[in-house]
Amino acid sequence: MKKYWKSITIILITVLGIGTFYIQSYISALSLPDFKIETVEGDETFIENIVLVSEYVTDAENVDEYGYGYGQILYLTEDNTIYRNQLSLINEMKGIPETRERFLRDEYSSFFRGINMWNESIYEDEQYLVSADIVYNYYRGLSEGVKVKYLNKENGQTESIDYPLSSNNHLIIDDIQVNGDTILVFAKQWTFREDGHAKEAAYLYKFDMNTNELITTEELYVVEAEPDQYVDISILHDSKSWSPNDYVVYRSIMQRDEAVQEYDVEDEFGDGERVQLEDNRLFAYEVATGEMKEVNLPESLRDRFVNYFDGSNLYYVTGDVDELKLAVYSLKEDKIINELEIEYTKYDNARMPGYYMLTVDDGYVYFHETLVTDEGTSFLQVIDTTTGEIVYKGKIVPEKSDLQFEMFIMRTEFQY
Amino acid sequence: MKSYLKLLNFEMNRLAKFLFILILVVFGIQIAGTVVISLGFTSEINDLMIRQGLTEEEVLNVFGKMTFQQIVISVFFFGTIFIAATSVLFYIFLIWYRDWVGKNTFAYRLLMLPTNRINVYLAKLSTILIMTLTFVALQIILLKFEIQLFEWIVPEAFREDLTVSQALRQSIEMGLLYPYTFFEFLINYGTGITLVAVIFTFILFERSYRVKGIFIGIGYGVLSILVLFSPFYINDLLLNNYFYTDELILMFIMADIIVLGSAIFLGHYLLKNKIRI
Repeated sequence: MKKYWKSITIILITVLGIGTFYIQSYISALSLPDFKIETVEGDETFIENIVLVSEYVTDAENVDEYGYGYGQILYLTEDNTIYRNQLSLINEMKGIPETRERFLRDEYSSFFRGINMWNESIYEDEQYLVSADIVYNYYRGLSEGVKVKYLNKENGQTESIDYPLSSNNHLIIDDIQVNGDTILVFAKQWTFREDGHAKEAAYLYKFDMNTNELITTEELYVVEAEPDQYVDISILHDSKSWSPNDYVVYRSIMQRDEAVQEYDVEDEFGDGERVQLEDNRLFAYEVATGEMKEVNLPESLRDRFVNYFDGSNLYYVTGDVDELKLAVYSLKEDKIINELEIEYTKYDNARMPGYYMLTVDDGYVYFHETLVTDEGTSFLQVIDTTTGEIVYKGKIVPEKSDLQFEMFIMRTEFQY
Repeated sequence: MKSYLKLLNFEMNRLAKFLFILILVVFGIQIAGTVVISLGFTSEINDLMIRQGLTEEEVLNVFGKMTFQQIVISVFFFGTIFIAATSVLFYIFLIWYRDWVGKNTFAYRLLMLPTNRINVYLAKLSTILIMTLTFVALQIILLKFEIQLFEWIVPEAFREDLTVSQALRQSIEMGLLYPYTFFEFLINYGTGITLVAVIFTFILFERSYRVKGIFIGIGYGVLSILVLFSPFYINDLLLNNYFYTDELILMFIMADIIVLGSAIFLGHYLLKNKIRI
């Protein structure tokens, strides 16, 4: 035994060092607290689909004692708390449980083989699941075709449509919608100029699900820049990129070159509103009728940037710094249909820019304070934008009531 | 098994001196680095506060709080990790070639031992693994001491404390050495040991066929790497990303086992039938 002492010492140090490190990490991960959304009032079905992606910290001034940088990433649902570092590698790679990615992976795993399920080009309603992708030739640097794949949930059949593109240079898919038996693929094409984009065009490709062929290609909107101009067409994204929308809305902006730099700098700080653009218009395509119209905003909202969009309404945050007012503009009625004032708790905390977050979906505002503390003054509210009524209100609290903590909600996601 | 353990102990005894000196050098530099950087920071603070009359708040506005991360990303720390990694790589070759080079050809005695020759191969492979893991484990233990040293030197008001676990994950490279989960740890070091086994088999090709063996060994090495990473590029280039990432990881583990098994099998074959003294 004596002649083995060197080997035994080295192996002991190794096993104890690494073993202790991983056991300690494991115990730390297990000791993280669970949270819940405690219903104060209203219909709980509004939040059964919600995931609050958050960061839990024990002390905001200092780093926590557990593992990742400043805090622990957690996914809070109606009745579950999932910490990222408690998941096994394989489980994490499948997608965080109870998130949108995991929902798709679990529900439609064979459909999504070969498809990037994290992109924007997925559509889902009760009957269809559709994905569209650009076939891009990386050697030639050109978009060569559009590949559409769809699943009819009723009969379980999956079909594919490949449509070759002839002269397109660069194409990206903005959105997918379905109208009856027609798949609508909204795409943007642009041609480059050395100093920016010279021409931008919004295209609509219509595919027939009965014949699996292209019906038409429509040029919805085109802007061409003069040599000293900057132009851009961009789609307004809604909080559920996959959901059926009544409208697909484009913003078109035009700006003289000397102001481009100013625009970029301002935009980088998320404060694009201050820049005076030469042209700043919204165009709405109505999915059911196929009509495109310019949105005729009232004076008070003109030249402002839309804060939120849910496929039917545009939402603008108005009011002063300390009050939250939300103007709801209906694209169908072409007018402001409501102005909501939302009450919330204002924390004096400098770590997170902004004190609240909101998400809109299907005529409802999902609102919460960004910061959640042990004071128990942070709520998740669901507000009906038509009536202004709070249809659900829940308090975000830890399971163990005596816990001292701070939690930052980074974003709200929907599972389906 | 007994023969394997005896051979492993023999290799460990040969390694001990080399390992001890290396540990002294690596951790000596790290401790010196911790002291130098921490003292440098405190002297700058003192300079601003005493000579230039700045308040604590003003100093913090200039420098911010110091964290142990500044030491982890310094040359004192990264340099030593590089030294340790290079030493392991050097030892992978040394562990074989020193048996052939020198006054007495030790390889002759080693291969004449009344034991299955695979034990020689496995003992050497285990020695490299243990050597690597010893560095990894000692780094965890000594980091605790280095962090403590940093906290003794830098006043509390001017520092932000990190735990060992946080300090170890301040860069992507360190994340590879100390992954979050034990499963990832097994994958990373499993891949590492497979690559070492491939190098071992390459060395044995060279020892068996000399110059011709170098070319055979290179061919074998390239083939092994191709097989090891085949799930990823086959999925990307031929299968249009048919498989999900978690499935690819499982396939990678399978490929890893195949490559490791082949390396050991080939190594054994060469040691048994083709090796030249």
